[in-house]
Amino acid sequence: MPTKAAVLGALSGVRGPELDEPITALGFVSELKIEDDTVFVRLRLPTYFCAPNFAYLMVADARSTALSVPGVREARIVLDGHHASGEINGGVNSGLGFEGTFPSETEGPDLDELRDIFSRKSFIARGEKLCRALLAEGCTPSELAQMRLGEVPPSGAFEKYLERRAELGLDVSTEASLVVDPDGNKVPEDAVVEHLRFARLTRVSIEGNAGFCRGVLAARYDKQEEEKEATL
Amino acid sequence: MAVQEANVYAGLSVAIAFMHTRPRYFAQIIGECLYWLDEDRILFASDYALWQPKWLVEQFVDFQIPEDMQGEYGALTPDIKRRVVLGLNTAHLYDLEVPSEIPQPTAVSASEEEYPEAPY
Repeated sequence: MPTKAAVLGALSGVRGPELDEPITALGFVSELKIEDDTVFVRLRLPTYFCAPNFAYLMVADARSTALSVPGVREARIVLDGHHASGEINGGVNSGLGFEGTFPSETEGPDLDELRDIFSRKSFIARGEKLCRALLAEGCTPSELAQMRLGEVPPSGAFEKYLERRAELGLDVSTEASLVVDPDGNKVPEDAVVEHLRFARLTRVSIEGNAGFCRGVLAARYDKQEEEKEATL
Repeated sequence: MAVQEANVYAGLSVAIAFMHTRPRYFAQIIGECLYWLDEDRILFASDYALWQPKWLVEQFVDFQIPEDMQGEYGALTPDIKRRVVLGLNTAHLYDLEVPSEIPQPTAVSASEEEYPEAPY
């Protein structure tokens, strides 16, 4: 039987869209049960009106991630307290896809494009965090522009950055340039400062979303839990 | 998007509460808005009723970007505050009449062409 730790570990690879933090760390996973080879995951969000496509993406990713854990044959994911909980839960658990879940309400390709946008943003923001730390340690922008991955001192920020970089399918070999755009093109030396300036905007925006969502989630559920305790 | 489109504005109605919980983070937000959009494309309104707005307005009038961050982001002037909080930008956008006793904003220095461009 798969362990809770193994499933939680896998679920920590699912990130809140546009928040760039694991759903496990954000408090979005409210329950996890395992019976034989079946996993039950209960998810919750800061509001009942969070973007349905973002919510769908998270539920779908949670399901495919849970199914990827060795020994798991079935995964049932339930999103609580969302205006589209019914459609999303039904659609994800029967593999309808986003289009099939909301027929005639969506246009364009499935959610892969959206997922890709979040991956690119996450990569840009993580790169900014890393470069910011390197600049604080005395690196100049032109040194950054010339730097190769093999020359970056090890750090948690660097590890995270490499993860995101690999996720986009970009070169992560030691000879590859550090400062590249989300398509893997080296940022020229005279554009590095502007690149980082824009990257900072992306990071500030992601951090703001995450901070705001945490606050609203706490207001929604901590209060409910207090009220529940008070009536017991 | 806001950088490329001249008719896109930043609304502080939600982000402004960081001023209370994480003032240094709020300084980054307002600093980024000022850099990328200029002070004439930032708005504040109470928005969806998440918070009672009175304290937000009062606290913003007293808010300043911390000194050690001003090298990066500059400082907030009374003119910026009047534009953002007291609604002069909004009045301009919606063509509302501003009472004559309210100081008029000084002209914004940068023209549309001078806005920084997003690299992608």
